[in-house]
Amino acid sequence: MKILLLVPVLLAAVTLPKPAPQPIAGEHDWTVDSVHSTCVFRVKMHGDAAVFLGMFDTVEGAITLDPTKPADGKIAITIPVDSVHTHDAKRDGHLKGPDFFSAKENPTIEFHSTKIEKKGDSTFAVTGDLAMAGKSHSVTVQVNRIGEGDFYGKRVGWETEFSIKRSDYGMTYGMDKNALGDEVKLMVAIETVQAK
Amino acid sequence: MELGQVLTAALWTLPGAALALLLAALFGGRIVPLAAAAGMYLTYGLVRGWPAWPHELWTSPNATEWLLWSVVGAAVLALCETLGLWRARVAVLFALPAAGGAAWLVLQKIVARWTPGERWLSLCGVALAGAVAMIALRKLWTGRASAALPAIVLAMALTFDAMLLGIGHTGLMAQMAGTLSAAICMALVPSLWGRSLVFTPANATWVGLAHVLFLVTGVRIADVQWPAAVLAGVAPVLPLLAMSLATRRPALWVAFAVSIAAVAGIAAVLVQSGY
Repeated sequence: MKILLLVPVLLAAVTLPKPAPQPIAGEHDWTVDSVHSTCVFRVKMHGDAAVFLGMFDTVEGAITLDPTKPADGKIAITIPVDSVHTHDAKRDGHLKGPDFFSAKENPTIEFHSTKIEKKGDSTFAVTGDLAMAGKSHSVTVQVNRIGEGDFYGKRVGWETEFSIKRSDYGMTYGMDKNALGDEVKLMVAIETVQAK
Repeated sequence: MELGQVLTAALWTLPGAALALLLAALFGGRIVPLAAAAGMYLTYGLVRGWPAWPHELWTSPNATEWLLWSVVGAAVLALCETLGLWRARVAVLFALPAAGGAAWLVLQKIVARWTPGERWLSLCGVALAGAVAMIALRKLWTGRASAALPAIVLAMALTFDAMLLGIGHTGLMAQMAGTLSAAICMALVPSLWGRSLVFTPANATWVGLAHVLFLVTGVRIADVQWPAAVLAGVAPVLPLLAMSLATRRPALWVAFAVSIAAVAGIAAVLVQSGY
C-alpha cells in the first residue's frame, strides 16, 4: 500500500513543467551596463545653420562576441524612447509623440545584428536590423572595441558612429524649409559587463 | 511652440482646405464630407508624405494613418447616406460598431500590450463615446432649416481639437483636425452668395466620429490630457442641450448656444495648457 503513496509524487514529477534550463553565460557574453552607456544624436537644423545634440539616457541589451569567431556573435540593443533627453520637456514630448517616434505605439528602438565581420584588431562591421517608429531597416555599422578592464566585474567598452535618414523611418516632420535635417548621426557608447 | 511656428503649421492646412472648396464647388455641397477628407489626405501627404494604404497597414499598423483612413471611411459612409444609398435609421444603428471598429483600428498597437480586460473596457468606452457623439450631433441637425449654425459649431469643435493636439505635442494631428475645420468653413463660403449649404445629419455623424477619434488618439498616443479631452468632447453637444431648452429659436439662444460650446472649448485648451 505504501507504494501507492508514491504515485502522486511520480505523477507530479512527470507532469509538472520543468523550469527551462538557463543558458550558461560564457566568457564572451556581455550585458550592457545601462548606467554607463548612452546614445547621442546629432542633427542639423534651421536651414543647416546649426547642429542640435540630444541623447537617450538608457541603453540596454546584450552582446555575445568572441573576437576569434565574430560570425557566431550576436548583438541586441534596446533603447527606450521615453529616455530621450534634449534639455527641454516640451521638445522631449514632441519627439516622443506621433510626429516622430510615437513612443506609446513604438516604445523602443531596437537593433538586432544579423552579420558580424572582423575588420581589424578591435574593429567589427556589424550588419543588423534597426527598428524604430514602427519601421525597420538594415544598417551596417563599424563597431570599435575600446578596451577591457576590471571594475566590479570584467568590463568591455564599445562605440560606434553612424548616420541614418529619419525619413526612412517615417519621421519627416519638420523637414519643410529644412527646419530639421533628414540625416541624423548617432553616436553610441556602450559599456558591457561580463554576464553571469 | 512659438506663434510663428503655429502660423506656419496652420498655413499647411490651406492647400487641403482649398482642395475641399474646389471639390465642393465642382461637385456640389453633397460631396462636402468626402471633399474635406480629401483635403485632410492632402495635408497629411504634404506634411508627412503619403500614407500607407489600408491593406499595408494591416501588417504594419500606424495609429495616425489609421485615424486618417477611419475619417475617410466615415466620410464615404456619410456620402452614401446623403445620396440615399442607405437609410438614416441604418446609419444610427451602425454608429456603435463604426465607432468601435475605428477605435480598434487606431488603437490596436497600443491596446495589444494591455490585459484583455483593459483592452475591452477601453475600446468599448471609446466606441460608446463615439456613438453618443455621432448620434447627439446628428440630433443637432435634425429639423434645422439652416445648416450654418451646426456647421459653425462643428468647425469650432475641430479647431479646439487642433489646438489641444498642438499643445499635446502633435503638430501633424493638429494640422489634420485643422484641415477638417477649415474645409467645413470653406464649405460655408458658397452659402454666402445664395447657394444653400448642404450639411446634412449624415455629415454631422461623420464629423462626430472624427471629433471623438482625434481626441481619443490624442490622449492615447500624444499628450492630450483626459479632462481637456472630455471638455472638448462635449463642447459641440452642449449647444444641443441649450437649444432644447428654447421653445423658439431667437437669435439670443443661438448666440448662447454657440457661446457655451466656445466656453467649453476654451476651458479645454486652458486645462491642457496647465492653467
